[in-house]
Amino acid sequence: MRFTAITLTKDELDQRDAVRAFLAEELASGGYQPGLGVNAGHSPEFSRKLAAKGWIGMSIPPEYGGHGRGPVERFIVVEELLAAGAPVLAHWVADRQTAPALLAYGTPAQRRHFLPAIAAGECFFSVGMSEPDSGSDLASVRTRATQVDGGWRVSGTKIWTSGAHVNDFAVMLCRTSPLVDDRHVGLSQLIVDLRGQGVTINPITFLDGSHHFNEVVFDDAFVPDEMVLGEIGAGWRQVTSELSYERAGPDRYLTTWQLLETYAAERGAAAAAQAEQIGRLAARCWSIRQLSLSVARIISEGGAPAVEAALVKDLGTVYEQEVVTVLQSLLDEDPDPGSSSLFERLLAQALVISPSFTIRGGTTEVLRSVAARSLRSSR
Amino acid sequence: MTAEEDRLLEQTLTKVFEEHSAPADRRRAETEGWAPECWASLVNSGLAWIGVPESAGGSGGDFLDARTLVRTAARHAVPLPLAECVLLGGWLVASAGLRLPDGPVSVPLPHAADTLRLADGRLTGTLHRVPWGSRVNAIAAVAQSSDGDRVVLVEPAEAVIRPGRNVAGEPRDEVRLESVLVPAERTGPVAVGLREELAVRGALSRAILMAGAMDAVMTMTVAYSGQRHQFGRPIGSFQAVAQRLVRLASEAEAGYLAAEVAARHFTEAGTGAAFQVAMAKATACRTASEVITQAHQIHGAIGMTQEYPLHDFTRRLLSWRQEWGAERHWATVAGAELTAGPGAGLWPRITTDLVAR
Repeated sequence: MRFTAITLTKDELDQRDAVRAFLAEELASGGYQPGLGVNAGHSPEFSRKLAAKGWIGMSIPPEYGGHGRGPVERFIVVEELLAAGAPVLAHWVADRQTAPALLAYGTPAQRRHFLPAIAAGECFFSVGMSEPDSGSDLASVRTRATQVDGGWRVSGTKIWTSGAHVNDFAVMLCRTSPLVDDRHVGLSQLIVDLRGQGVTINPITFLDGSHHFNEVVFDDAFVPDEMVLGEIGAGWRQVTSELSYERAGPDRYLTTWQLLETYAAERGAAAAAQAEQIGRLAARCWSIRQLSLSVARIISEGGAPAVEAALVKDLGTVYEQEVVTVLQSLLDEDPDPGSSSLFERLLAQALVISPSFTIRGGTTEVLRSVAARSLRSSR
Repeated sequence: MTAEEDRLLEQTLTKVFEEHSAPADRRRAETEGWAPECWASLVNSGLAWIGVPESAGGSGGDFLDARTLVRTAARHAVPLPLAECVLLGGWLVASAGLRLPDGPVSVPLPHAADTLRLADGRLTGTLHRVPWGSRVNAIAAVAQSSDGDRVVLVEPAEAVIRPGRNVAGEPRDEVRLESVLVPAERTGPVAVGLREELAVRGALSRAILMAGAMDAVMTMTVAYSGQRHQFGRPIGSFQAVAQRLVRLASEAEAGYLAAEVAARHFTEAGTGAAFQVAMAKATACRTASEVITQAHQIHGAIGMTQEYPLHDFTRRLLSWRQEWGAERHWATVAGAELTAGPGAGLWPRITTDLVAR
């Protein structure tokens, strides 16, 4: 394991300037209200504006409607969007997770069908991994697909399926052959039409009253053979590599960045009086960002920085919570969720939802267990 | 310097330090104050003055060469003022157009009560914390005079020295000067912005030292957690210990990379990298605290003995954390800059990156 200092190219810096200019304009014209990282909002309209700029599907090759950019260029764009609190949720999973999975494991037909639509901001995906009895222990999933003529019949229940009520498809992990001693055998990934027959979507209301999560119930839903992602039986390997892509990105430390920005912007003199605290929080973000950028560079050079990514996710998500705790400790008043101050509204929301930062995308405890094994075996 | 050259330099240095800064050498140095054989070996190999301009008598090279020397030395807890020689003192001497002394040079740590005045060619004042003040051949410092600031080189023999130490047992001596005559060849002009650059270099020197020490602690602790068995298995296989191990590793990596990024910014931009150095020193202070806590907890009782070398690193980290500005200082400096006046927000400042040429 060795993180390295990253240099950016002139092109990458130009790209950043373009995103900054676009976001400043959108903000000024009321195109969006800043929010908290990927929680900022689901806006297909905003996603399509980004797509028109070429900022979705950046890693997709041009032959599939994308832009053939590397992980570092994508990083530069995505961190700007997240730091500014722009609504990226609609295309988030499709762009970050589904597109790379399709490129790695999809058939040519699947790529031709889905990738151009993803890059255009016209096709949105959810992730179907967790189940009522399978959280961190993902290999215990029980949703079952049985082979029938021309495809698979799926029965079972997925939960925490973010955006299933508004997205188009879900890439779902399920069991395609009976359970054997090695639970990692016999799992597969299927692409499921969320509007299809036999698919029922029920809301799981979040503790702040918002609706992002769902329970998705499959009752003998049909998935044609063409919608199998990758190899039947290789689901575990595919899913674990997919998870490592998602771990170390800017979304793991920038969720609460807008809190710091709005605090400094709204409370000028009071914020200046807290220079030490602002400096500490800024330094932490700065240092985690260097690590995350380094992971993006390792991926762009063909590496598989699984441990590095786990460390960044751990540091980043704990930091996001620290921002909330520290900023609240600087206030005398209790933030009102309906306040006219954006800072107060965001803080009120962050206070309630911040425990989720170290749970989603792999709990801190599981990440640390996995990372520790690799650390010890590498020495 | 290419990455390959850097790796070779690190290998060469590692050999020297493995030979001359083994735990037994470090124990002896703690009594005697330093490790002169190690210095002699560096001089013989032409490695003692890496990164110091040839004009001053150094061996040339850039800041990153010097960084490699200092970081590698910290990995071996080398009891010598190498950061003072190649990152601070050598630069001060060269910038004032002076010549390096015949042996190591030190630079006083900033201290609120320090005074140093040059009047009629004579130097008077007290420097409260001078690393290896009584061992080095010269102390390079900035003195006030009626014609403005001057860089001066003082020999310890000319001073009254009250020995002091940091918690790692490294000399941090008080140096008192009473009307000491400074010949012309040992004083030179102060370039514009020199005091500011000295503060930035000082902070960066500690961040780089801390990067090396944290790296050593991480390597050592990961290894120990695999070797030490309790209840019939390696302690690192217990979840509670494994969690600590990962916290240690992530903090050590964060501190290491922060110093590396700041060193590169400094190489490109000098004091233009003051913000990155502030970030890096604040980061090093914070990460070191976590690294020390976790490493000691994982090592258990053995880590609390003098025999086991963990303390060679953790005690140095404790000291370096405070020297040249603690976390509070640099966080405040950075925070003040970030919150000064209405601007474009904090984000653009945080994301000033190194640009490929």
